[in-house]
Amino acid sequence: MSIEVKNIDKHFGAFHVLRNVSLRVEAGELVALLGPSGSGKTTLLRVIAGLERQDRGQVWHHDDDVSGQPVRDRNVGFVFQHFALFGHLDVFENIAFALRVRKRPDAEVRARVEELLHLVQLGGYEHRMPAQLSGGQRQRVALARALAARPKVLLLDEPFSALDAQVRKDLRAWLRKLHEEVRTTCLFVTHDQEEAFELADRVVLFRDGGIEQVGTPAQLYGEPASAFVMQFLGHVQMLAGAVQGDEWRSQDGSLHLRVPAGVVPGPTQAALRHHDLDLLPPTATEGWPAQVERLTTSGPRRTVTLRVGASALPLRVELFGEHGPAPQAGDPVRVWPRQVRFWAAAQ
Amino acid sequence: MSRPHNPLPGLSLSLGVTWVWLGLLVVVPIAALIAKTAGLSAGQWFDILSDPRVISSVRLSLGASALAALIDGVLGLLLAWVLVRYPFPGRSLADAAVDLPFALPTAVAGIALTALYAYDGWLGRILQGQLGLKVAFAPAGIVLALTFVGLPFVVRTLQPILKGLDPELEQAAVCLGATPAQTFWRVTLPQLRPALLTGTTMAFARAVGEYGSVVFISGNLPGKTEIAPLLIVTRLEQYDYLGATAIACWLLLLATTVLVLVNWLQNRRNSLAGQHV
Repeated sequence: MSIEVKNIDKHFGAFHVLRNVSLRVEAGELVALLGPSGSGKTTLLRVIAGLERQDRGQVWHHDDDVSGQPVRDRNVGFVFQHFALFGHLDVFENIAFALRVRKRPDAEVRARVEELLHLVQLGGYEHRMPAQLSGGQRQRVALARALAARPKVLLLDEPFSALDAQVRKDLRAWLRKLHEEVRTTCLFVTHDQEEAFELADRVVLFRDGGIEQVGTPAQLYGEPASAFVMQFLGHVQMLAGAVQGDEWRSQDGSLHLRVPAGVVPGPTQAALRHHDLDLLPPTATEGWPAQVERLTTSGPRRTVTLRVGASALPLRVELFGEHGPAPQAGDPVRVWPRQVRFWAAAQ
Repeated sequence: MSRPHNPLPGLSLSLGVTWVWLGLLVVVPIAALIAKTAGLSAGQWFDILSDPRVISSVRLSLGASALAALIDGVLGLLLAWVLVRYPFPGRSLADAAVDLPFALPTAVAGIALTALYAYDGWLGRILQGQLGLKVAFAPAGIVLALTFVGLPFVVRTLQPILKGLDPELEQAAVCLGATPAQTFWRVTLPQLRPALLTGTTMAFARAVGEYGSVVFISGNLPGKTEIAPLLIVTRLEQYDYLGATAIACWLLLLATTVLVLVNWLQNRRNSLAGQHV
């Protein structure tokens, strides 16, 4: 089932959490709502579920305007960050809850719960209490519980953030697989861009209650709509400066870059991604002279911190795989950006 | 045996004070009470306890207390619910008023209730004169007085639990299609049950021992509206110390049995349900 929100506005007191938000999610899509905390992504998820009432705007589930409908009638599956399992009910009854309140016959309940236990790989756990489960198992029970009544849409609010790093990775891969099997329209909230990129078909990036950009992970990365998007996705450094004619100069005047046609003159930030920088020998004729300050190695990635230019700006370079002998702290080098994006500085 | 390290010292001192306090205020008086009856033979025990006046007063005390505790359970839950969940003008005033039965001398409460519910009182006039419902000087009055003194126990044990409930559990229930009533019965109430039971048993225990507020409203008719604590006082005034202590021991035994039974049921339920999250 497709989900559409149109012109949603929402205030919490004086705080404007959602500013005229519109978004369409197609049936069967897996979409991530990504953004810093307080940017409105969780509120939008709760508005879609009906747990919050919007001040203005509409929520459409498929062809139905459900804007005024109570939560109970919307048939959404909602998975909470802290699981929200019923502590006084065992795993079986937790999963069966949606069927019990609908007064389904016992045999049907049993069959459905068994099916779901199998789906979330928790066969044999039906009589455990939630307190006896690990975090990852609890979240799987919460997922099975949300799926029990065959919801048209599954909404997940930071579903993995309360879990350990390893469990989080496993569950992520598992959710991707589950989505391929079940094909329920899926929206999940996260503040972890890696999680969003790895899981989602499309990513919706939030900023201050509005949507900054919507697109596939490749689009967001390859064609960021703003400096904010680039910065939020990380591994990037912004250098302040100004464009004059066809040249960008850093604030201290010591770094120069050619700008492509169409860049407007004026205060401009140059965005350099850490892995789009080349390290050159100090004897090279091109590039900016720099000095190595520190080198760290993490798996296949080596991060070199440099000081560059007249005001010794810190600059990070990420190198992958074999790149010859590693530079040492104190070494003079040259550094050159393969690719740069220019953003007019915010006034 | 090693104890887990506690950053605050002073265990031996506080434990010592606790034992002295418990001993002087609880254990010694009750031991003396039981010792006093040691001289009674089985036949004397039987004679005292089979007195119809004793039987009916003990039955009245336990029955009225149980009924009052049940009413307190329902009313207390409603009251705590309203005080915690809904902001309304005068809430802090209402919240403070819950403690009044604790603060007021119970005799004052008894007199006030009697004045209100007697056949010529404000409420008694309507209830008795027009509806034919006799409250003062009848078992209903006893239940009323006991309900009054027990109510704060239920409200005050439930309030912190209600405040601490995770709102996401109710939201999860609603998302799963539960109606408001189903959400309450299946999700909210089970979380409150232990505290509700504790509050209700405390109200019961308090009611069994209550004397001051009841003597004024009950009318104290032997065999009809005479409660056990009053009978004990009556026996004391007649210098029948053995009779008084025997009834006291009997009441103590019965009330303790009820409390132990309730606790046992509660523990069994918890162990069946595993640990709570």
